[in-house]
Amino acid sequence: MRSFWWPVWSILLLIPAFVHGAFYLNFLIMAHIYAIYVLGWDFVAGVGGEICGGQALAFGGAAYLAGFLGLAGMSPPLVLVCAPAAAAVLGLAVGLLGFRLTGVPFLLVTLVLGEAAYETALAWAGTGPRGLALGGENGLPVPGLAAPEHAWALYYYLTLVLLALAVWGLIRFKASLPGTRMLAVKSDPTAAGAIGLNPGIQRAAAFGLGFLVSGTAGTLYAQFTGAATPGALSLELSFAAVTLSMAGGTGTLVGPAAAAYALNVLFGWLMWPSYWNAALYAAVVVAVARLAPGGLRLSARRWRQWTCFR
Amino acid sequence: MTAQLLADGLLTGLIYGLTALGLALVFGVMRIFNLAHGAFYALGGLLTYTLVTRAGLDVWAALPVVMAAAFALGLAVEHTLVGPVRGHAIAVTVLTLGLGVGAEQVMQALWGAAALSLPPAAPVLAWAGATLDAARLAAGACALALAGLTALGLRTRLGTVVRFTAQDPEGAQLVGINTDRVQMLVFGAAAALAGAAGNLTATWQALSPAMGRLPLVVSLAVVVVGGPGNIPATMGAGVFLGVAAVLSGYYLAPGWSYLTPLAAIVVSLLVRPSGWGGAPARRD
Repeated sequence: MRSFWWPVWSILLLIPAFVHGAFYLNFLIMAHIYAIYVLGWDFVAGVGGEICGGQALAFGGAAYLAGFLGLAGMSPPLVLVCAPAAAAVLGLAVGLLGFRLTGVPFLLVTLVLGEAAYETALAWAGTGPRGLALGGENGLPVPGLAAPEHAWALYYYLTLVLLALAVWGLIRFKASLPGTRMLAVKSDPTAAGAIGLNPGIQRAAAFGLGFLVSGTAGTLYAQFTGAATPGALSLELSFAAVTLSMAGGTGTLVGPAAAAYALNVLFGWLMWPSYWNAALYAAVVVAVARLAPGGLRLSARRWRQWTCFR
Repeated sequence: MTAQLLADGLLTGLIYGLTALGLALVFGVMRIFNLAHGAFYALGGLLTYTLVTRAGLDVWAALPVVMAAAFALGLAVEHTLVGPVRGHAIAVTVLTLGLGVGAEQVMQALWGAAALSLPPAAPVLAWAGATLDAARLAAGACALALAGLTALGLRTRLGTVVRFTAQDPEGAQLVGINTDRVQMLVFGAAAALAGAAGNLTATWQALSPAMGRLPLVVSLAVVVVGGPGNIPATMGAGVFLGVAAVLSGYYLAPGWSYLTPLAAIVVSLLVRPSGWGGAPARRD
């Protein structure tokens, strides 16, 4: 890890010592969770090479599974392992669609799968223990690792450590031989196929890993907030991943995580109506797609070229 | 009850067909999926609400105003945002998705998230157990008329230019056709058709910024399953999916009216990614 990251991590580690208000710690924890979630999408798009329109499937799918496992009596720490693992399997299944589809059709199918999951979660209704009504807008109750009012520090450090692990692990993976294989498939699937790599399998593996990371974020979110609701599967959440990754530089991993962190802290501080968040995300996506259509990545060099050209 | 459901599905399907017609035109000529198409539909409904409640216009008088506004907005969007990146399939899909989501949020800021409604028209016709109101019947007839006008428009000199551009853009350029301008015009016309569809449903549907999502999904299903196709086929597919959505929503669960076209898109793309009746989707 580069030396300039150590001061950043040190400051993040020391924040709870100086910030005592539950309000501020709450949105810092949410910023960690969203940064982990966006990392998953960025890996899928930046290393796997496919634009996923339904990343909320991983987030919300893991959140709902955490709810079901909790209702079945599984302990919360074990749920934190099992739900992301199931999200990884779901990612492999979605990635296997890459054998049939790529590009815009793939984007459309993943978008539609996310919407279908959202609508199913909204329409589903069941009954839990002691006649508890489940499903619909209220979703499922999810047992937490500890009650948030007594465990701000636990959630803060747990999410921070998992964020650091995700950033470090994915960067290392990207530089490793399996990561290089995925990048080779991304840059030229035909040439990669000619040297013996199977593009479908490489894409599926990238989706599995990306969904594992986003699923971890979804499980943490459900355990922290105490519920898995249809909002965790919403189009807006999938769209937020696309936006934050583009804003931070798709495929750079650190950039999107930093963008997710910074924007969540900013939105928590601004406290404006949530539709302005989505409107700002939309403006970023439109600007990046318009200015850098080839790579969907707004680099400083591209920005300078564009402004000089104008 | 079945007669009522079939009648509701038929009339709803005609509106879906009109919406899908715009999307199919854009896909046929520009080879792009315009995911902001539903936003023009919602704009049509909400603008009609404002024109009726604030300006005191009749719903029918609001129709040309709404179509003109949607057309102008469509031209502006195509000229400034979509046109310059048309060659990048992924970028243009992501861009229109961004436009759709952004437009929904802006409409939420302007009109609020709560569903709005206009006074419904009284029932006028009871036949074979189905009761239909005047506004709904007129909306269905108007949707058919607009589709017919579009079909006739494609037979004119300008329509021939549009069809030539759709078939062979390079060839059209070689004979001196300004294909950029044709594509801009088609995008504007598609926006106007979506706006008209939103206007036609204003008296019998809840009006909200998210009201364009279901028509967008159904339109996508029509285009993905059938390709750009022809106008009768597009209207027919819209009616079929409208009836399927209403029947599944009643007999299974309300959520199924949304899931049926979603399932049609997924299955169609997986089984036959190039579409059943149209040209293959272009890769970036």
